[in-house]
Amino acid sequence: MGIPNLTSRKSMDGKRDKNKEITLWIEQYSEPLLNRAFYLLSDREEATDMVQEVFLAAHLAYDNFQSDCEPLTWLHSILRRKVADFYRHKYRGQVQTISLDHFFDESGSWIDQNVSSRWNDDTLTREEEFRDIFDNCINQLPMKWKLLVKLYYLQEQKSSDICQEFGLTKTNLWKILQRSRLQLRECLETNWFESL
Amino acid sequence: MKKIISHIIHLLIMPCSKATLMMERKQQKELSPLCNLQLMVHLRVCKLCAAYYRKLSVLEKLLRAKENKNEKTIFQSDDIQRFKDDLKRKMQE
Repeated sequence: MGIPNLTSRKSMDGKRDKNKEITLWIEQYSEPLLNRAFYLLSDREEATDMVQEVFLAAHLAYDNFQSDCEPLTWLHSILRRKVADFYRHKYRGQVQTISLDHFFDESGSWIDQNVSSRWNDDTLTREEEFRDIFDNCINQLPMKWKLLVKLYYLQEQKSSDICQEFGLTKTNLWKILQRSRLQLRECLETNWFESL
Repeated sequence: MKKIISHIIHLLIMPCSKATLMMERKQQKELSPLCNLQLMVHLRVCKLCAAYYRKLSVLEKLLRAKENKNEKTIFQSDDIQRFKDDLKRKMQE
Protein backbone atom coordinates (compact mmCIF):
# COMPACT_ATOMS: atom_id res chain seq x y z
CA MET A 1 0.00 0.00 0.00
CA GLY A 2 2.92 2.27 0.66
CA ILE A 3 4.13 2.20 -2.91
CA PRO A 4 1.21 4.02 -4.59
CA ASN A 5 1.54 6.69 -1.93
CA LEU A 6 5.16 7.12 -2.72
CA THR A 7 4.60 7.42 -6.42
CA SER A 8 1.78 9.85 -5.99
CA ARG A 9 3.89 12.07 -3.80
CA LYS A 10 6.71 11.87 -6.31
CA SER A 11 4.42 12.83 -9.15
CA MET A 12 3.09 15.73 -7.10
CA ASP A 13 6.62 17.00 -6.65
CA GLY A 14 7.23 16.50 -10.32
CA LYS A 15 4.08 18.43 -11.09
CA ARG A 16 5.11 21.38 -8.98
CA ASP A 17 8.46 21.54 -10.74
CA LYS A 18 6.78 21.23 -14.07
CA ASN A 19 4.43 24.12 -13.37
CA LYS A 20 7.29 26.28 -12.17
CA GLU A 21 9.32 25.40 -15.21
CA ILE A 22 6.49 26.10 -17.66
CA THR A 23 5.78 29.43 -15.97
CA LEU A 24 9.42 30.31 -16.42
CA TRP A 25 9.27 29.35 -20.08
CA ILE A 26 6.17 31.46 -20.62
CA GLU A 27 8.07 34.36 -19.10
CA GLN A 28 11.19 33.82 -21.18
CA TYR A 29 10.03 32.48 -24.51
CA SER A 30 6.65 34.05 -25.23
CA GLU A 31 8.20 36.87 -27.21
CA PRO A 32 10.37 34.88 -29.62
CA LEU A 33 7.60 32.34 -30.14
CA LEU A 34 4.97 34.99 -30.81
CA ASN A 35 7.23 36.68 -33.33
CA ARG A 36 8.03 33.43 -35.06
CA ALA A 37 4.37 32.40 -35.18
CA PHE A 38 3.40 35.77 -36.61
CA TYR A 39 6.17 35.57 -39.17
CA LEU A 40 4.87 32.22 -40.36
CA LEU A 41 1.13 32.87 -40.17
CA SER A 42 0.95 36.61 -40.90
CA ASP A 43 -1.98 36.92 -38.52
CA ARG A 44 -1.85 38.23 -34.96
CA GLU A 45 -4.77 36.33 -33.61
CA GLU A 46 -3.81 33.02 -35.17
CA ALA A 47 -0.26 33.51 -33.94
CA THR A 48 -1.41 34.24 -30.39
CA ASP A 49 -3.71 31.22 -30.31
CA MET A 50 -1.04 28.99 -31.67
CA VAL A 51 1.63 29.99 -29.16
CA GLN A 52 -0.89 29.43 -26.39
CA GLU A 53 -1.44 25.95 -27.76
CA VAL A 54 2.30 25.40 -27.88
CA PHE A 55 2.62 26.07 -24.15
CA LEU A 56 -0.39 23.90 -23.35
CA ALA A 57 1.07 21.09 -25.44
CA ALA A 58 4.44 21.55 -23.75
CA HIS A 59 2.70 21.27 -20.40
CA LEU A 60 1.04 18.03 -21.41
CA ALA A 61 4.14 16.53 -22.98
CA TYR A 62 6.56 17.85 -20.37
CA ASP A 63 7.70 14.34 -19.45
CA ASN A 64 9.04 13.88 -22.96
CA PHE A 65 11.25 16.91 -22.63
CA GLN A 66 14.89 16.05 -22.27
CA SER A 67 16.54 18.54 -20.01
CA ASP A 68 19.76 18.51 -22.02
CA CYS A 69 17.80 19.98 -24.90
CA GLU A 70 17.40 23.74 -25.20
CA PRO A 71 13.80 24.54 -24.11
CA LEU A 72 13.32 27.09 -26.88
CA THR A 73 14.42 24.55 -29.49
CA TRP A 74 11.88 22.12 -28.13
CA LEU A 75 9.14 24.75 -28.08
CA HIS A 76 10.02 25.74 -31.64
CA SER A 77 9.64 22.15 -32.76
CA ILE A 78 6.20 22.00 -31.13
CA LEU A 79 5.29 25.24 -32.88
CA ARG A 80 6.41 23.82 -36.19
CA ARG A 81 4.24 20.75 -35.73
CA LYS A 82 1.28 22.93 -34.78
CA VAL A 83 1.83 25.04 -37.88
CA ALA A 84 1.96 21.87 -39.99
CA ASP A 85 -1.32 20.65 -38.42
CA PHE A 86 -2.88 24.00 -39.11
CA TYR A 87 -1.69 23.89 -42.71
CA ARG A 88 -2.86 20.36 -43.36
CA HIS A 89 -6.21 21.10 -41.81
CA LYS A 90 -6.67 24.31 -43.75
CA TYR A 91 -5.76 22.91 -47.15
CA ARG A 92 -7.06 19.38 -46.66
CA GLY A 93 -8.68 17.95 -49.74
CA GLN A 94 -7.52 20.83 -51.89
CA VAL A 95 -5.75 19.72 -54.99
CA GLN A 96 -2.51 21.61 -55.35
CA THR A 97 -2.93 23.01 -58.80
CA ILE A 98 -0.02 25.23 -59.59
CA SER A 99 -0.46 27.15 -62.77
CA LEU A 100 2.56 28.54 -64.58
CA ASP A 101 0.45 30.28 -67.25
CA HIS A 102 1.52 33.66 -65.99
CA PHE A 103 5.17 32.89 -66.72
CA PHE A 104 5.21 30.55 -69.73
CA ASP A 105 3.25 30.33 -72.97
CA GLU A 106 1.63 27.14 -74.30
CA SER A 107 4.92 25.85 -75.64
CA GLY A 108 6.53 26.36 -72.23
CA SER A 109 8.67 29.35 -73.24
CA TRP A 110 9.20 32.48 -71.16
CA ILE A 111 6.64 35.23 -71.61
CA ASP A 112 8.56 37.96 -69.80
CA GLN A 113 11.74 38.68 -71.76
CA ASN A 114 13.09 40.73 -68.85
CA VAL A 115 14.29 37.50 -67.35
CA SER A 116 17.45 37.99 -69.36
CA SER A 117 18.40 41.30 -67.75
CA ARG A 118 21.37 41.45 -65.40
CA TRP A 119 21.02 41.84 -61.67
CA ASN A 120 23.51 43.99 -59.90
CA ASP A 121 23.55 42.18 -56.62
CA ASP A 122 26.60 43.65 -54.90
CA THR A 123 24.85 45.65 -52.27
CA LEU A 124 21.61 43.76 -51.88
CA THR A 125 21.97 42.23 -48.49
CA ARG A 126 23.13 45.47 -46.93
CA GLU A 127 20.46 47.84 -48.03
CA GLU A 128 17.62 48.38 -45.63
CA GLU A 129 15.32 49.50 -48.41
CA PHE A 130 15.95 46.35 -50.37
CA ARG A 131 15.15 44.17 -47.36
CA ASP A 132 11.73 45.79 -47.09
CA ILE A 133 11.01 45.18 -50.74
CA PHE A 134 12.21 41.63 -50.47
CA ASP A 135 10.01 41.03 -47.41
CA ASN A 136 7.05 42.49 -49.28
CA CYS A 137 7.66 40.24 -52.24
CA ILE A 138 7.72 37.21 -49.98
CA ASN A 139 4.55 38.31 -48.25
CA GLN A 140 2.78 38.67 -51.57
CA LEU A 141 3.08 34.95 -52.18
CA PRO A 142 -0.14 33.03 -51.58
CA MET A 143 -0.41 31.88 -47.97
CA LYS A 144 -0.11 28.21 -48.71
CA TRP A 145 3.23 28.67 -50.46
CA LYS A 146 4.62 31.50 -48.39
CA LEU A 147 4.48 29.41 -45.23
CA LEU A 148 6.44 26.60 -46.84
CA VAL A 149 9.04 28.90 -48.35
CA LYS A 150 9.59 30.57 -44.98
CA LEU A 151 9.82 27.29 -43.11
CA TYR A 152 12.09 25.82 -45.73
CA TYR A 153 14.66 28.53 -45.17
CA LEU A 154 14.09 29.11 -41.50
CA GLN A 155 15.61 26.06 -39.98
CA GLU A 156 17.50 24.62 -42.90
CA GLN A 157 14.98 21.86 -42.77
CA LYS A 158 15.33 18.88 -45.01
CA SER A 159 12.73 18.86 -47.71
CA SER A 160 11.78 15.30 -46.81
CA ASP A 161 10.86 16.44 -43.27
CA ILE A 162 8.73 19.27 -44.59
CA CYS A 163 6.97 16.92 -46.99
CA GLN A 164 6.21 14.48 -44.22
CA GLU A 165 4.95 17.08 -41.75
CA PHE A 166 2.86 18.93 -44.30
CA GLY A 167 1.59 15.90 -46.17
CA LEU A 168 3.12 16.87 -49.50
CA THR A 169 4.89 14.84 -52.12
CA LYS A 170 8.40 15.88 -53.08
CA THR A 171 7.23 16.83 -56.54
CA ASN A 172 4.61 19.05 -54.97
CA LEU A 173 7.18 20.83 -52.86
CA TRP A 174 9.49 21.36 -55.85
CA LYS A 175 6.63 22.81 -57.83
CA ILE A 176 5.67 25.11 -54.98
CA LEU A 177 9.26 26.33 -54.65
CA GLN A 178 9.55 26.71 -58.43
CA ARG A 179 6.33 28.72 -58.63
CA SER A 180 7.25 30.83 -55.60
CA ARG A 181 10.67 31.68 -56.94
CA LEU A 182 9.31 32.57 -60.38
CA GLN A 183 7.08 35.06 -58.60
CA LEU A 184 9.86 36.36 -56.34
CA ARG A 185 12.10 36.91 -59.35
CA GLU A 186 9.41 38.89 -61.11
CA CYS A 187 8.55 40.91 -58.02
CA LEU A 188 12.18 41.87 -57.36
CA GLU A 189 12.69 42.67 -61.01
CA THR A 190 9.83 45.15 -61.14
CA ASN A 191 10.16 46.63 -57.69
CA TRP A 192 13.90 46.84 -57.30
CA PHE A 193 16.18 46.11 -60.21
CA GLU A 194 14.25 47.97 -62.86
CA SER A 195 13.90 51.01 -60.65
CA LEU A 196 17.60 51.24 -59.77
CA MET B 1 21.13 27.74 -87.52
CA LYS B 2 21.62 28.46 -83.83
CA LYS B 3 17.99 29.44 -83.60
CA ILE B 4 16.89 26.15 -85.10
CA ILE B 5 19.05 24.15 -82.70
CA SER B 6 17.66 26.10 -79.80
CA HIS B 7 14.16 25.45 -81.02
CA ILE B 8 14.74 21.75 -81.37
CA ILE B 9 16.22 21.53 -77.92
CA HIS B 10 13.30 23.38 -76.42
CA LEU B 11 10.93 21.01 -78.16
CA LEU B 12 12.76 17.74 -77.81
CA ILE B 13 14.62 17.95 -74.56
CA MET B 14 12.48 20.20 -72.44
CA PRO B 15 10.65 23.51 -72.42
CA CYS B 16 11.67 26.37 -70.12
CA SER B 17 8.72 25.65 -67.84
CA LYS B 18 10.21 22.25 -67.13
CA ALA B 19 13.81 23.45 -67.02
CA THR B 20 12.93 25.78 -64.14
CA LEU B 21 11.56 22.81 -62.21
CA MET B 22 14.78 20.91 -62.85
CA MET B 23 16.67 23.87 -61.37
CA GLU B 24 14.72 23.46 -58.13
CA ARG B 25 15.55 19.79 -58.03
CA LYS B 26 19.18 20.52 -58.72
CA GLN B 27 19.28 23.03 -55.90
CA GLN B 28 18.05 20.30 -53.59
CA LYS B 29 20.51 17.82 -55.06
CA GLU B 30 17.69 15.62 -56.23
CA LEU B 31 18.39 15.63 -59.93
CA SER B 32 19.39 12.43 -61.71
CA PRO B 33 22.54 12.56 -63.88
CA LEU B 34 20.48 12.26 -67.06
CA CYS B 35 18.15 15.11 -66.11
CA ASN B 36 21.16 17.12 -65.06
CA LEU B 37 22.68 16.66 -68.48
CA GLN B 38 19.41 17.71 -70.12
CA LEU B 39 19.33 20.80 -67.96
CA MET B 40 22.93 21.70 -68.80
CA VAL B 41 22.23 21.35 -72.53
CA HIS B 42 19.15 23.48 -72.17
CA LEU B 43 21.07 26.15 -70.29
CA ARG B 44 23.73 26.22 -73.00
CA VAL B 45 21.26 27.19 -75.69
CA CYS B 46 18.61 29.10 -73.75
CA LYS B 47 19.71 32.58 -72.79
CA LEU B 48 16.61 33.32 -70.76
CA CYS B 49 16.90 30.21 -68.64
CA ALA B 50 20.64 30.77 -68.18
CA ALA B 51 19.90 34.27 -66.91
CA TYR B 52 17.11 32.99 -64.68
CA TYR B 53 19.44 30.33 -63.31
CA ARG B 54 21.91 33.02 -62.26
CA LYS B 55 19.11 34.96 -60.63
CA LEU B 56 18.00 31.88 -58.76
CA SER B 57 21.36 31.56 -57.10
CA VAL B 58 21.07 35.21 -56.00
CA LEU B 59 17.60 34.49 -54.64
CA GLU B 60 18.85 31.42 -52.84
CA LYS B 61 21.63 33.44 -51.21
CA LEU B 62 19.18 36.16 -50.18
CA LEU B 63 16.72 33.68 -48.72
CA ARG B 64 19.44 31.85 -46.82
CA ALA B 65 20.78 35.13 -45.46
CA LYS B 66 17.34 36.12 -44.23
CA GLU B 67 17.08 33.20 -41.90
CA ASN B 68 15.92 34.26 -38.43
CA LYS B 69 16.59 37.92 -39.02
CA ASN B 70 13.24 38.83 -40.38
CA GLU B 71 10.99 38.37 -37.43
CA LYS B 72 9.80 41.87 -36.91
CA THR B 73 8.54 42.79 -33.52
CA ILE B 74 4.85 43.04 -34.20
CA PHE B 75 3.86 42.53 -30.58
CA GLN B 76 4.37 45.41 -28.19
CA SER B 77 5.62 44.69 -24.69
CA ASP B 78 2.10 45.34 -23.32
CA ASP B 79 0.65 42.71 -25.64
CA ILE B 80 3.29 40.23 -24.62
CA GLN B 81 2.74 40.91 -20.92
CA ARG B 82 -1.00 40.43 -21.33
CA PHE B 83 -0.40 37.21 -23.22
CA LYS B 84 1.83 35.90 -20.45
CA ASP B 85 -0.61 36.83 -17.70
CA ASP B 86 -3.59 35.30 -19.49
CA LEU B 87 -1.74 32.12 -20.20
CA LYS B 88 -0.40 31.73 -16.67
CA ARG B 89 -3.91 32.19 -15.32
CA LYS B 90 -5.19 29.57 -17.72
CA MET B 91 -2.47 27.14 -16.77
CA GLN B 92 -3.39 27.38 -13.10
CA GLU B 93 -6.99 26.43 -13.71
